[in-house]
Amino acid sequence: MKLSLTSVKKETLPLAILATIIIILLGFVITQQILKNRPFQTAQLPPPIKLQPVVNGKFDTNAPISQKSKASVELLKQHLPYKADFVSTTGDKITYTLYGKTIDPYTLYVDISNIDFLIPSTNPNYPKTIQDFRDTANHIFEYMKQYNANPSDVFISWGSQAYIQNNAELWLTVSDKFPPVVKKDNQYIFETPPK
Amino acid sequence: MSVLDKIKKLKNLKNLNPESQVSQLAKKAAMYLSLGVSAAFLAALAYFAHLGKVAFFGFKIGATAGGTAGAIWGGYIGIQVGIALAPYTFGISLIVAPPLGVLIGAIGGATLLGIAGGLIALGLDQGSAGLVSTGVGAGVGGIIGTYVAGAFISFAIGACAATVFGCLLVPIAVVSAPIIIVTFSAIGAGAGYLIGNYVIDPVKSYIGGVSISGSASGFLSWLGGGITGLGSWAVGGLFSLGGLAVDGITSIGSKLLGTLSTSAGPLAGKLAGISVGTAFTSAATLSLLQTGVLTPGKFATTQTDISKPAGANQYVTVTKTANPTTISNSSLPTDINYLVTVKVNSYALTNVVCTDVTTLKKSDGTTQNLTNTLIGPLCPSQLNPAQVLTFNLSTHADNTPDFINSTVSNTFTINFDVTGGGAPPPTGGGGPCSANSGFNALLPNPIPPSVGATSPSSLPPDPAIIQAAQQATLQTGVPCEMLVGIQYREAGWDANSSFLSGTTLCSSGNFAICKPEPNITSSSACTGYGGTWYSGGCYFTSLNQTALASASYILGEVSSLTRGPERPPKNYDEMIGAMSYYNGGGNANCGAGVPYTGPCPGPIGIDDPYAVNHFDSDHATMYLLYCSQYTDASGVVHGIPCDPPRVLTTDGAATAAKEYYLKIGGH
Repeated sequence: MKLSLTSVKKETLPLAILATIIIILLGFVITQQILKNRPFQTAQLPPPIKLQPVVNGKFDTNAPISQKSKASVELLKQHLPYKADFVSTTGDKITYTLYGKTIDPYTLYVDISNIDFLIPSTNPNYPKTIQDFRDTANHIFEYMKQYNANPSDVFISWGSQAYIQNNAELWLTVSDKFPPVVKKDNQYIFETPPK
Repeated sequence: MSVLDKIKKLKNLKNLNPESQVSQLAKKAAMYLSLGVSAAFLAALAYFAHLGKVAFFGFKIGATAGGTAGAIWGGYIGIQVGIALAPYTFGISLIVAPPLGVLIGAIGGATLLGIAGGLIALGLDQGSAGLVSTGVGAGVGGIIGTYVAGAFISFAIGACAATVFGCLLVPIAVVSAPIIIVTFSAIGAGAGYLIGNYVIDPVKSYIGGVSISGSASGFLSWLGGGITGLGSWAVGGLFSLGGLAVDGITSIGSKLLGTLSTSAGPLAGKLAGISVGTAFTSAATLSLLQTGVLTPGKFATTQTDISKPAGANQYVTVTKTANPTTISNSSLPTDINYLVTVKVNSYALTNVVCTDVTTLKKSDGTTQNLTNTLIGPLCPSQLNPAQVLTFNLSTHADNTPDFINSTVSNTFTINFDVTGGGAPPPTGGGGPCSANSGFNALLPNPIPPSVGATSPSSLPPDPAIIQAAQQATLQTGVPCEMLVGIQYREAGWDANSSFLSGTTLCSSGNFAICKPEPNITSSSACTGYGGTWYSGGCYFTSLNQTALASASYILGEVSSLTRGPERPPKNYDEMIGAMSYYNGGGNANCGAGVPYTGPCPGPIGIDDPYAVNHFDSDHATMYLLYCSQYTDASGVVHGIPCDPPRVLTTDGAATAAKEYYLKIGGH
């Protein structure tokens, strides 16, 4: 059998294709890492739980926002309860559990360990605690997206106490009051002083 | 000739030369193969890193195993290829092919088994049989494909020994190897996916994920969860049925046998607070039908009829056994002996009168009383709390027509007054949760004595609290005593205050002047618990509503704690863990800078004073972490640490539950 000679162009083309694929893959990995550390965009934040619609003293189960939330919780239902351990960007080990409640199929419930939601604002670990929570929320949102549940559609209960829900919903929003957290001189601080 | 000289010579050969053709083809094959497996490995690495820690960990494990095996296999193949191509490459293939084989084999093997490992790990983490079997299928298919590819390469090597064409086939076979392996792997993954999703997962769902407990309620809930597939709604419904069956054996069982009734006197109200000297009669009539149908060879009294607790109310529990348990017509004449046990609960009884009647119902329907021979006095006129009496009664069954095919019934009745005057608490309230409470399963064995307990001085809880807890137990299966303990922690056993937070109930229904439940922050939860959402807050009008809400909370906390379905706690660790989560978990003493000396670390709740303060000597002194809260200008709630650390003086919820169970339950 006679093999035909290959020209320089023909020889290098497959190599160029393969090299491009590798570069794209590396770029994907790097981009993902960058995106994970970006502050939250408003579009992906869950709706505040106090804004649940009410009719005659009862939760309005027929409202579109309620139905959307229920449908998203349904997408996750067969994968609940879900427990995860991970290390946040601050190096803290966080554990959280996602679960549902029979009496309230419209809400995704979360229990988070190792985050002190009552931490005083004067505590030097306050920014770090906020970052730990944001990392946890991000982790949860990524998990939800795996099952096509959109975080911005789902009512989320962040804990069994009112102060947990209050503080969680405030810390989620990156704003002048709750700026991004950065590491400087081995300390976690707000990027800009909170207003 | 040096290696470099050999390479130079190969390069300068004319393309039609066999050595040139083989070496050129081999070179291209090596390049494409190296880049191809590298790209595949990077893609798999990126994908599983993106999926999360668990999947990536599985990928790493699989890649390590696959890389090692692939390196060995690739090295072996490389040696064979190197030998086969040596005559056509001036021996250069002997130097290049083996290490290249190790490298390509390692990367390729790492990719294949890394993917399998990542899928398996992800499937195990998520409980998805489909994912697990896809991973297994990919791995198995890949291994089979490796065998087939190896066989093809061996064939080519063999052909190379015979002809030049065979040697051209060697690089082709090597490049084909990953294609063969991937194809087989994909077929295996596809088969695994189908088996997992359409065979294993449906079977798993049918069987159900609810764990089986030793109790009837646990079994019923498991059965319900598996059969109906309605998930936790069915489980919750069957819990209540199961709980009813377990707890209600005395009432339901005795209703099957007879009647259990308590008639209160004309005065209503609490036991305490009525002036001394006001008397009433509380008649607890327990009718126990001991059925014995004397037919040839058959005695209808079943062992369960005899051994079931005969009846109970909040003052006394009566049980009865019979000997013999079987009688046939041919056994007559015979004596029938009854052993009756009366156990007094927590109230002293006066003017006690006991009667016992054995009745013969003949085959013609007429009845007559039989003579009982009582061994020992039937009842003293006064009985103390926790006192136990036993009576031996004997009746004689003759070998006469009256006894042939008849029914023998024994009825024990106890009448008494409760000291202190006043009407008794309503039926089912104020006393123990249940005569057959299973709460002891949630306590350590042996039960440790509390240290510094404060709740005993407040015993017994208001009957309305017990009633509300009992009702919630029937509906959810959460033990009544546990709810009573939580109510103590939240409200100090004040019957006007919520189980959830101690907030005063809005009995008037005028929400504008009431305080909302602070920790129910969503209208969906509020509605689910039976409350009313008004002006941004959740309001309850009855103790029963808050008891049910509290029990529902506990079900959810157990689900979170155990990463399983909503269910009542089954043991001590689950009870205190659920109690700790119920309170937000923010009071854990371990590592919190307070001088707590109890167990650390431990199961969740073991160091939370909300659950276990004063429970035993290890928890005699526990601390509050935050003494108060404030809200800053941005709306964030912050805690003010107790400085110096403040000792919590009142009992934890588990301690109060235990004290109530032991002292009021008479255990």
